[in-house]
Amino acid sequence: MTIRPGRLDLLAADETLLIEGLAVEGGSDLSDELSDAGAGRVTVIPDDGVDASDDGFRTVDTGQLVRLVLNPGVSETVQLTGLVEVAQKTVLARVPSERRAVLTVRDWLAEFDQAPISPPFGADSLPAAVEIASDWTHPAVDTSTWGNAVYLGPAFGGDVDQFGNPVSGGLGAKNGVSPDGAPDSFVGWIAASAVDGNGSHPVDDIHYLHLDLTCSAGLLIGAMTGDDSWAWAFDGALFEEGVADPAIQWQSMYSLGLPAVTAGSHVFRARGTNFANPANPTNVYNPMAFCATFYQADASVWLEWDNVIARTGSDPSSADPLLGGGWKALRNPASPPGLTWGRFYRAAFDVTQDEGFLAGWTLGFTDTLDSAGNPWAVRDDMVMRVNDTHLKFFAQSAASGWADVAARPADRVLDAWRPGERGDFWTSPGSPPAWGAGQVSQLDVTRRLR
Amino acid sequence: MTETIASVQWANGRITRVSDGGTGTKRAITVAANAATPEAQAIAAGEAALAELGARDSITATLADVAEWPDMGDAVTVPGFGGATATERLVARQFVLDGNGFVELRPTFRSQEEELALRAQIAVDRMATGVAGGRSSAVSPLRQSDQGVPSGVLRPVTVPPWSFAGLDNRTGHDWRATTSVILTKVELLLEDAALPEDLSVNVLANGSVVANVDLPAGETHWATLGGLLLVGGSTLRCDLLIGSNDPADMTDHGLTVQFTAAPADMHVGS
Repeated sequence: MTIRPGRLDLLAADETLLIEGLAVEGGSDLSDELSDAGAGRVTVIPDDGVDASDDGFRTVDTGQLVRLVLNPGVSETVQLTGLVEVAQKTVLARVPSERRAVLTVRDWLAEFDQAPISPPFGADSLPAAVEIASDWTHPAVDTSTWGNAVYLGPAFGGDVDQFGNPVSGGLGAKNGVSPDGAPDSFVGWIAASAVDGNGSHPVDDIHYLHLDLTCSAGLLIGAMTGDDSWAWAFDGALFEEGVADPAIQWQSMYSLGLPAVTAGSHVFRARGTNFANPANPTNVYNPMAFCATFYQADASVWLEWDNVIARTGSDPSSADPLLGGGWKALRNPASPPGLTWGRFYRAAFDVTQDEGFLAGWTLGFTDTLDSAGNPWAVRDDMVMRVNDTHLKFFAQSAASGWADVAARPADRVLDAWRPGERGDFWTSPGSPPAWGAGQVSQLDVTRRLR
Repeated sequence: MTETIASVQWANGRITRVSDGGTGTKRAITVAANAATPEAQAIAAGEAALAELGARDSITATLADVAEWPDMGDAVTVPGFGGATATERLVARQFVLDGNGFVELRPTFRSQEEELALRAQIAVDRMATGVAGGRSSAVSPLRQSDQGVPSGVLRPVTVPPWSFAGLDNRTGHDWRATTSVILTKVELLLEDAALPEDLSVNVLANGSVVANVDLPAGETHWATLGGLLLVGGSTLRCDLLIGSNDPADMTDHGLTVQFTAAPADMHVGS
């Protein structure tokens, strides 16, 4: 049978049942859509034409839920839960039975249209990314398997060190020539691996660096540079893209100047590439190297040692950020660092829930598996706009081929599938059912020119 | 007949037009491919945009007798625009309530071609912007830049060298710093031959000795690392001390005291 018995229930926002079996006018409809919140229009009429205190007409209001149940009392299945977004009531009519409430309803996935996407560390956190990418800049990228960075030597060469002792060790990756404007003579060069016998890294090497940084509230200045070209990001916000050959980055010092950062944990990342030099075909003395010193105005308002909170230095494996400890590194990964859609979205979801939105919702997928149990792919090309809504990100995810998304009909569970894999269309349905005149009473085809 | 043209904007705003080879009425679509260069990439972006054009069908059915209602995303074979059947994907479901306690399903399908076109559009977007989803490649703007917190390339600062000709115990001249600087290295460069005994230089800030650096006997170039802060407005001076060296032997020698310096101001609240 095409027509099924059905019932529309009214629920409070917390899913408490208010009315079982709303009296609705014929022609009312509810819709769901692939990876978007379908819309519908439901006309609720008084139960019996008289004022009954418990009838749906009197009770319905915006923010409540309507739930479509098929085969009630037999083998009930919830097909869809809708969110009442607009309610228009005819509260007075000459004929009492003509009173009605017209509800504009959207699939309760629309609750995700009421939740904004926050920066990776939440609203009011500083610095704040304006867009969040799933690439190496994202704070949620797993760096637990990255090794310690490798110290390549001091950025300053000399005969006597800052303590009055003879300088020991070599001159380092850049032969003791410090970048112009470098304010910290303790700073050292680091990379993801040691240089080879020619004092070089291979051409086109790509190195990634990571540092967890604990800051007090206030100003933060990072003085940094790299060889050949380094980009860097702080809390997921890209602040420097690096330089293009033949521009030279390492001879100048760059400032990551942040007028205010919030107190607590922050994530700094850098990505470097090594250029080929046509005048140096044997690639001699062509190292990759990065150096940085981070300052806060703790003791004074100058870039002096008392204000240093972390630097690249001689001991990346130590726990002391002033000795260069805590720097993790990754060299030439088989694929660029990135996130699965599941992990990428969960990062945003967790922040949003911590801020009090999307109460009651849980995720029906994991960081590694989609809702059908299929493994997500790691990608570095996804992006979400801060202050966009979660629902708009779902639509973008579907259109961009990142994921299909849906709200579970009867539970506040968000399901997500690998792109296109909701339903059996893209997963070899075998012999799909064929509908002809026997199954379809009418079929309309709308053709659009694009 | 229609000629469809992709009008591609690329590189530095240059417009390149790519035709589908048709004739007659011209019809254009615009393509933003600002990351594309050289021209071949822009043409490829235009051709890709043209390739995904065409008539697109959307199919809505009213069911008569279907035992199993399909789920979202399922495949069903239905007649298309010209009557020929094709396998389509269920992309929306409308449940219509009849007021008597019954529900009817009206599914909407999207053609396989349209699904593929959607993915082709993703490829075009990638060519246009470098990554999918329209992500800009620009760095994040710095906020509150009016506070003057340093950003971008740090401007090197220069502290002039002190040069002494004919060496003896001597007081140098004062130099006033206009901005705050960090002195990260002091280098002593001796002209002519090395000396038999140590020589030293007192570094004074506002008249007080803040550092003493040596040039050991036998050396002509000696560098000492440090981190001396010189606040803007302060004076810096270098005084020469020849130690046990014989002044009579030093009239032909010269010494240069050279500082490596960096900007030191954080501009907090300025």
